[in-house]
Amino acid sequence: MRIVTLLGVLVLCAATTVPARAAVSVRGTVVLPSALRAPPERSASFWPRIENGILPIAPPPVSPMSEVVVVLEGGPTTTSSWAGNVVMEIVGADLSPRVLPVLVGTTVEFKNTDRLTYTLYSPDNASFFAKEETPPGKSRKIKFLTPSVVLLRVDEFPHMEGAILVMQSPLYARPEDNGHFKIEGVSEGHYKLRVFLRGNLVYEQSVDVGRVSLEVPVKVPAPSRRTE
Amino acid sequence: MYLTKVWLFVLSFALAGALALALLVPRPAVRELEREESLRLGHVQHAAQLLLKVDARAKMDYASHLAADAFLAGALEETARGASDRALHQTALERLRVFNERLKLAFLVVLDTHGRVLARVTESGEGDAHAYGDSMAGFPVVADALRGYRGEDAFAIGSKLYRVAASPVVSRARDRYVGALVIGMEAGGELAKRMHESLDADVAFFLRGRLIAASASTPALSALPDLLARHAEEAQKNGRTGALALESGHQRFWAMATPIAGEAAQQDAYYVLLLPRTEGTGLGGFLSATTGEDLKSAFPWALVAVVAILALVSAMVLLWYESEGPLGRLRDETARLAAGEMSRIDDRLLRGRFAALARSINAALDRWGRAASGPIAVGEPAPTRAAQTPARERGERSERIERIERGERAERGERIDRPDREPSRPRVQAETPIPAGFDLPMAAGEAAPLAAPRGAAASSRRATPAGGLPQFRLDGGPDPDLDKTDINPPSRDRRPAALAELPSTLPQLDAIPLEPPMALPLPPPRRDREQRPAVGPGTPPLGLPELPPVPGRGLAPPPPAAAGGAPPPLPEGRPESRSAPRQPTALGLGVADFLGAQPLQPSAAAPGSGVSPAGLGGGARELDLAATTLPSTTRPEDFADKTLVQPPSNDLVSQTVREGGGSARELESYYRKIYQDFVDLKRKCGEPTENVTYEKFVAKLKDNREQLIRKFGCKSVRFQVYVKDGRAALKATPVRE
Repeated sequence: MRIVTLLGVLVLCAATTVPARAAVSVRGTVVLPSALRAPPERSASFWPRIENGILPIAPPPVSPMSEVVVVLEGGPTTTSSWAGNVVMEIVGADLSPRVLPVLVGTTVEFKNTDRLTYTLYSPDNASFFAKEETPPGKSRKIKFLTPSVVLLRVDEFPHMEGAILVMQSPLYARPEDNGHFKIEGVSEGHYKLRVFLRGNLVYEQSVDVGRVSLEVPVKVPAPSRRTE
Repeated sequence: MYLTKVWLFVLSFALAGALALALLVPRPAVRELEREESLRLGHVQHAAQLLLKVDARAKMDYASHLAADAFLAGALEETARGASDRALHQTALERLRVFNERLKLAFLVVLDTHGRVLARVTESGEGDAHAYGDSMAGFPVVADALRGYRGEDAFAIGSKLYRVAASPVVSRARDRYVGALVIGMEAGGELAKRMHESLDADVAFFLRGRLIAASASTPALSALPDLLARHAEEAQKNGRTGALALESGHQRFWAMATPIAGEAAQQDAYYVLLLPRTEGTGLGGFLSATTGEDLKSAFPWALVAVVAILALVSAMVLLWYESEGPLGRLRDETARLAAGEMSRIDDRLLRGRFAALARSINAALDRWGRAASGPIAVGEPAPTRAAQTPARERGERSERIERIERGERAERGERIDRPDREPSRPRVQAETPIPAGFDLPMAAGEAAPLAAPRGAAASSRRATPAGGLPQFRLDGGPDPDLDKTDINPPSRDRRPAALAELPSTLPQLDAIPLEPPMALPLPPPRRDREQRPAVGPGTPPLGLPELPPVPGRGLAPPPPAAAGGAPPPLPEGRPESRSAPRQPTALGLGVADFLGAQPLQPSAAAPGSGVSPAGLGGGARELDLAATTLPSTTRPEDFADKTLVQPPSNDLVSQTVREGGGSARELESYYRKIYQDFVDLKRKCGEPTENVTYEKFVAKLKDNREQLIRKFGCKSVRFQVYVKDGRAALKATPVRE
């Protein structure tokens, strides 16, 4: 009896102590070079921007980290899709958010909430994202079915730039303003961690994900030239 | 007219060269001018950039100055605290209106810390009330201003282009940013005019390929969008285009496009500077740009006049020298000729075509005179210059021949009678031309009816028996003359028209080969000769139709002999070739000598003598006819001592004709006779005859005969012995028919 009880206890312990094949998280911190921490001076005017001489320059209202996306690619084949809608607002001669990661099958609604008419288009995907005027108060919806990076431009305002990252896997994250990111549900396997800034790939490294969570430091090198 | 033509050529080339220079000279200047204008346009563009840059800085300073306004700062502070926005909007709006009444800007906008419009004032005031709350945070210059930067930019909104400056608004406590102020000025016609006044160049603004404003309205602007599209890459790469040639109708410009600095540059916003291209490029422009002042002040009119006068004088001198002068002399000569002061025109006084004209006149005079005095041979050549040989010169030669003849007669024991010269003979001798070919005997009295022109009457006694057959001189005897035999054709201008097709020169004959005496190979008898029957006195030559009588030619009755049985007239002078005016030619020379040396008996040319005249053909017919007019016996004593040229007697002619062709035996006898005549004549001339062997002589004759037959396709060759410069000589005459 004691032996049977002992075996039962052992089996129970074994069943409880041997974990099942579970997903872990990949965490890390994205560190941008100083050149990319603030939006660059976009237009080549007669004069460069000049500090006012009274107060120090304030941080930008829109953090550059809001334009960063960290993506894990590879590993066990994990495909996912989502048939929902995501809104990208056009306001104040700007896109909000400027970078939008979505799963395959997502429909993005470009909503013009400004008083001006904007002509949004994708220079690299003119076939399905051609130039089309979006009057004030109107929207333009486009469903993305192929994994890709779609860059966005506005015809009247060259400074208005955005990107939509269409991905098959939900293993992506948008860092916080301090650069921390966390990707949940990562299965064990070999991955490639890629960092996109305003739709441009700025960092890539291999990551072997085990049974425990992984801390990955991401230090984006300074670009040799402007990412724009 | 040669020099005049050369002068005209020179003038033509000079004119063409001047025209080429006139067209060519402006081109380097045009290139230099275009380069200078391009450089000037570049300088203008640089000045325009500086002007716009200074203006941009001035706007930044304006914005900074306005952003320091306490009313605006206070309103924005209250807005940041979440106070009543509408009241603050009205406060800020009123303040901006005060500013813009003085500044006349396109717009002034006050933004809160989020980039939303608190108040906006535009030049037109349209929509200002509804702009409250609109966001402008997306504009980089606004975003920078909200962070604390002062900057400037250029916007393209709709179809308008704005130059914008922004400045942060700092709280009155200077402890934080409470917003930003943005001012804008339209880049349109006003700016273009101000730039035009400063730059002295037209300015035009283009946005997305469309003209939005310009300092001046010109049709050439319509061509600029295409030009900009073609040079957009160059403009983006270099910051500006080069100087672009722009033409529209009569307007020609240099254009230089520069992208407008700022965000608008990415929207194909350009300002274009236009400079008119300088007129007066090229010859047409140069002439159109020339004014009266250019022709008045310090223009070298004297040099131009001197050059023109020199050219004119040169042309006139050449014309006088080559045309007017000879024409005047010809006119004088013809006037004297018409007045009877002279019988012929002295063509030596003339040159070129006028000399040819004089010779033609002389030839016509001779022909007319001959037509009036006796038969005329068709195709008779023009009189030669020998006719104009001074009588003294011809007399010297005649004296030499006369001495030979007297010596011969003295050897025969004959009495040498020097007949008295007729008074008119020297005149006739001096003016009698020597025709080509054989001379026809003519009584001396026949010249009397042709006193005017006398030369023509005298020259008319000559005729060409062979109808213009070429006669060639065989200069020199066998030794040494025979070894240097050459055949010279008559000069082309002296030959009759019928001979114009014949070559003017003949190849030099080789020296006579020295062959041992042997029987000469006789040429095979020609078929036509063999088939010819004997020719009687009234029978025409075989193979030829009987010629009808030709008036004025050979069928005319012979002129009557002078009363008292006077000897036939004595032609004087020797023909001279043009190339060698002092050299006697074979034209008519030597026949009298030959006749004098060996008088021919009429029996020699009697019909049925066994010598066939078939070898002479038509040429021989005239000779036969002429022969009927000769006296039966011709003696050297009948000739005066001045006689130089004697027309052959009919017997001689007939005999010569017969001897020119015939069978081998006849040829042999003919050669022997020529040899004998030649040796006799050399003795008369006092020349040695030891080296003149019959074999060498005959070989030379055969060789020459074959060459002439081969050269001219004649059927026979006639040889004659005559005296040349006091020496015995031979001449060969091809007989064509």
